[in-house]
Amino acid sequence: MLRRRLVLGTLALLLAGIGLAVAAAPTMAGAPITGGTLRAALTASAPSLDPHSGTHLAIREIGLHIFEGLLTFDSKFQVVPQLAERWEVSRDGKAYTFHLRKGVKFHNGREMTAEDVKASVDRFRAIAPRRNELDAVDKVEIAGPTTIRMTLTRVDAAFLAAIANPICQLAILPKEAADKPINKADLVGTGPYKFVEWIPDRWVRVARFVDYKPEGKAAVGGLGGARHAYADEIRFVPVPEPGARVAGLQTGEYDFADFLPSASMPQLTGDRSLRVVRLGPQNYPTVYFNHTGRFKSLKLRQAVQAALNMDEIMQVANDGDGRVDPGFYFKEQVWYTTAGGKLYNQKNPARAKQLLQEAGYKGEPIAFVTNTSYDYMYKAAQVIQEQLKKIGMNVTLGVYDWPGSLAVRKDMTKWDLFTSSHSTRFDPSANDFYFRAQTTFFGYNNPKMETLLDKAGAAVRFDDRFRIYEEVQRLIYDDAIMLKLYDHYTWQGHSAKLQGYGPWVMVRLWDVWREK
Amino acid sequence: MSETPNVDKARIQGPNGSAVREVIRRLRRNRLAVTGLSLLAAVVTAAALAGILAPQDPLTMTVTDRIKPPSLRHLMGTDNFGRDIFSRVLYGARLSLEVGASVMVLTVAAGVLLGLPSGYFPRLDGPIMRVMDAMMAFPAILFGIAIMAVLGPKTVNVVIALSVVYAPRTVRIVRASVLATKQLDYVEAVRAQAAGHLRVLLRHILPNCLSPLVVQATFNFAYAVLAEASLSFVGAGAPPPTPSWGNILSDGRIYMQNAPWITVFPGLAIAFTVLGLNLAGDGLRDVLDPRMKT
Amino acid sequence: MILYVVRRLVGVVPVLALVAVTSFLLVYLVPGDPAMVMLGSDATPQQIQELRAQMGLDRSLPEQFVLWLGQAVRGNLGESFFLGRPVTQALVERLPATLQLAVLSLVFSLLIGIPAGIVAAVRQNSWWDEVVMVTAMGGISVPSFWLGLAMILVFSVQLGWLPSGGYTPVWEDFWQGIRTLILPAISLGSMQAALIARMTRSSMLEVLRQDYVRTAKAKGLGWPGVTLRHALKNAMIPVITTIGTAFGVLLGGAVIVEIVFTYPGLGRLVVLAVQRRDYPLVQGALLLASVIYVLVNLAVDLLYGVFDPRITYE
Repeated sequence: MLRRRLVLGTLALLLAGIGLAVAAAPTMAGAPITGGTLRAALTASAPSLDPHSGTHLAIREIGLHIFEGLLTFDSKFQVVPQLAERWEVSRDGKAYTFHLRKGVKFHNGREMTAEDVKASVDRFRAIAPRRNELDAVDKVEIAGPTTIRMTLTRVDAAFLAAIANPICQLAILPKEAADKPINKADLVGTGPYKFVEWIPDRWVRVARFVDYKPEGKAAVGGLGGARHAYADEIRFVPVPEPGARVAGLQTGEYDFADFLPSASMPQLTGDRSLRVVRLGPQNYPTVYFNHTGRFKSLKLRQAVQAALNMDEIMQVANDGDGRVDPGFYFKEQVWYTTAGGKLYNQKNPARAKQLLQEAGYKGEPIAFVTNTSYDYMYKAAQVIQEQLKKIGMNVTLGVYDWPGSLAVRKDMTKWDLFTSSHSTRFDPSANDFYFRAQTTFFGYNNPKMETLLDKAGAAVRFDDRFRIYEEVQRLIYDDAIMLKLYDHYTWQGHSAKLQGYGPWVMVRLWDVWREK
Repeated sequence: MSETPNVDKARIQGPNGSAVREVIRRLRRNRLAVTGLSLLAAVVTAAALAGILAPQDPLTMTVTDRIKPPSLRHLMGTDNFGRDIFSRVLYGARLSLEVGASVMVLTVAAGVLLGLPSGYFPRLDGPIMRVMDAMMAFPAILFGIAIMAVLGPKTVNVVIALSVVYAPRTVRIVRASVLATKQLDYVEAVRAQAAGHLRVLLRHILPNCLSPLVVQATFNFAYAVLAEASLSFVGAGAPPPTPSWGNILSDGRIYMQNAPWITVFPGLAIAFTVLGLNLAGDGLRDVLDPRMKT
Repeated sequence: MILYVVRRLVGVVPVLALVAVTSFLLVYLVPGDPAMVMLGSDATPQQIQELRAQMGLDRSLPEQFVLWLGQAVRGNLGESFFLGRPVTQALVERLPATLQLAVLSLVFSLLIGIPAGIVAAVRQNSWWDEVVMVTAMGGISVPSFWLGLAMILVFSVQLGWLPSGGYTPVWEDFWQGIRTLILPAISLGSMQAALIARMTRSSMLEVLRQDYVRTAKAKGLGWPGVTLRHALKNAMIPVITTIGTAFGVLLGGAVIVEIVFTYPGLGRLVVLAVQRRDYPLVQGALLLASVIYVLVNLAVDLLYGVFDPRITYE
């Protein structure tokens, strides 16, 4: 009698337990479902899909799904393994030995070896626009079927970051790509998705690579760690009109859309079939001074620095989606510092007028070049013009499209102020070239800065590098070398059926699946 | 636009004085023309009096007041810079009208300077028309974008670009008139009297070209206003911060869903003006063509 | 007649030559550097120089032009800098899309414009006449992109009836294809519809005033019937010219509509090419557009002869 009740009771409990589990299951994030097609609306048409060809955003937005490098970055912007599972540095800091993972297949079925790596690095050093970051490399040698050694001419603290940099990625291609010029190499990589077709301005299609081997088991975030391909196919569709991306998301034409205008947030957040994600921050808009013209005068630069009201600029340029912050690196990055921040966002017209007087400004025309290709730069420029007008500066806007504005920028007699932006820097050395007399395009020349940057290049320890770059930022503010406006957030949106998506610096559609 | 101009002009065009008065008399009775010209007059007055009518400075940004719907303080609401749209639309009328009028004048000048010789001297006809055909073969907006990109972002360049785009059709209209007029008996008679070419052209041929030219001129004005908006839409128009209907529209388009007033008002202003011009043009055509009675 | 066609075709050559030279000059005069666009704004001057040399941009302008022209007359329009494929291929890929849009817009404008014009003429000064004329006026006065944006807002976003953009060729999926084309075709075609309506109306009015028509009506002979058919035929002549110009305008105006609707046609391709300074593509596209325009005009002129037996070609 008792035994029967016990059995029944246990059975009941068991059933109840199962029932609860079944009831609870739909509310848990389900297990990833393989299959289906993801349609992603991106802003720009890629000028090329060759990963070594350029720094354009679209090249890597798509490319990072297809290609992999020796190293990459995790979510905190630290260098982590990708195709190289570990590496050693020689005692003198000039020789790096990378040990490649074994059994990694290219999309054409062949296994990746050191030969492929050497071919890819050689090609990169020959034709990639970013190749000067590997200037310190003297020799690249195959030290074994899965071992590669690179010898440098000097200690370079930014070397690993240069290898890992996803902007103009040092993608590892099969060795047949070795001597193919830009755009002529086959688009074969080792990533979770393989290239299928590219109809320019219609779409790029990639398909799940069944033999993909994820690096490790952990999800380290960023661009590294274990990546999985769930969708059968991803279609990247270039949709330059922001309104069209929004509309396409709302009608369900796209599962994912990038760079949504903040103006459309109200109607999107109300839509229950969509999820809106804030990617912040993605970049920061900047203003450069032309140090060879009127702005040779420090006081004049400081006047502009004092006059600007970054809150207002941010309100207008990005509908308030941003963060007013002096750091040249984001709070989320290990390199973040507020050094020099007192001179940021002064919004002090009285002081600005004072400085103008001290600079001896008599109403001479100031040429401010901006462009229509980047909405936020265009709007920021208009606000800045108004703010400078209020302190008595005679600013005229020259509006071009992006290539047009670049062409004007080359002629140092044609501009005084120029709008641009810095995308997320993976390593502070990425900003060096602005401030070195040899490479600057706005005429800056300061021996003190050169010394600082040289020291940074030789400081291998993180703490040393950090302190030096703090000094650099302080100098940027004290000398009013250039201006940072604000941290620019962007919005992305996706169908509520899309799971696993996490916003980061680049669009990452691996680890993403669509529910039924 | 009819390319076959009516030739039977001897009736209205005689000594200039009474012809003009006759035209004006007919205009006053033509409903289309009256409506069109009234609309135009309203727009021109608004533009001229913008300084008085505008409640605020069109360039002043009050960032805290951005994207506010129409209210008593801001009759047409504010844009995303916090500027009063009503004031901007009023001042924008000035720019749009200036561009339109300038393009009209330049295209008429081109029409006369190129169309007259082209129609009158057969040897010039070939080369001139080839060039005009080549210009018309370019897709208009692309031509406009390219010229703006070459010349640089200034309002005066918008005028040049649009004049270049719309000149060829004006030249063709004038040329067609000249060709038809040349054959008239009395013209041949005058030429036979060994009158100088210039005299013949100015006194006898040009007056006959006037009516299709005037009609085309009003349409060119309308096209220019529309085209200025299109150029601004693709970012190749009049530079900021000077308001033009085109750039108000263009700035506001991403806010179309939640702040439609930014695009509705300049759009209506354009439609209003262009409608007025089209009606006036139609009316003029009806009036100047003695065969067409409404 | 054949002689006429041949002569016209020969006459087209200098026009195309002019177009080629002008588009070449324009494109090169626009400030901006495709090499810099490709490499990114951080590239060093030295890298840019190298790429420019690779692209053949370091040669003198006349030399580049002659090289390009020499290939162009053989049908080789060169290779697009950014698409990494022959220009001809890139254009041919996009041509069907633009043609579908232009044709549908033209069909729409004819289907709406001609009947409207006829009705307005036949019932002159009646309520019909007023409605048609006012609507036609409206159609001409509104900027096509404003109309397009408004329609997307209403029909796509609010009502969800039609897609807001994208493209499916009609031969792949007829109904889906038509659905993606409706809004752009209306935006593009409404101005032409209005112009055609007005043209038809005024042309019909003129014909209806003719003695033979008035006599037939007075005598009670086959009105509408036979007389209307004859009247129509004569009225169509000026309308045909308008169709020719309309097609040319549609090809050009398609640019803005394609941008608003994200329609992957030639217009968007060229705008993108201009933005990136993809010289070969811009030149090739302009040349193609001109060839189409010229051929369409020729076809229209020949059609004239079909409708009006009085017109002969020497």
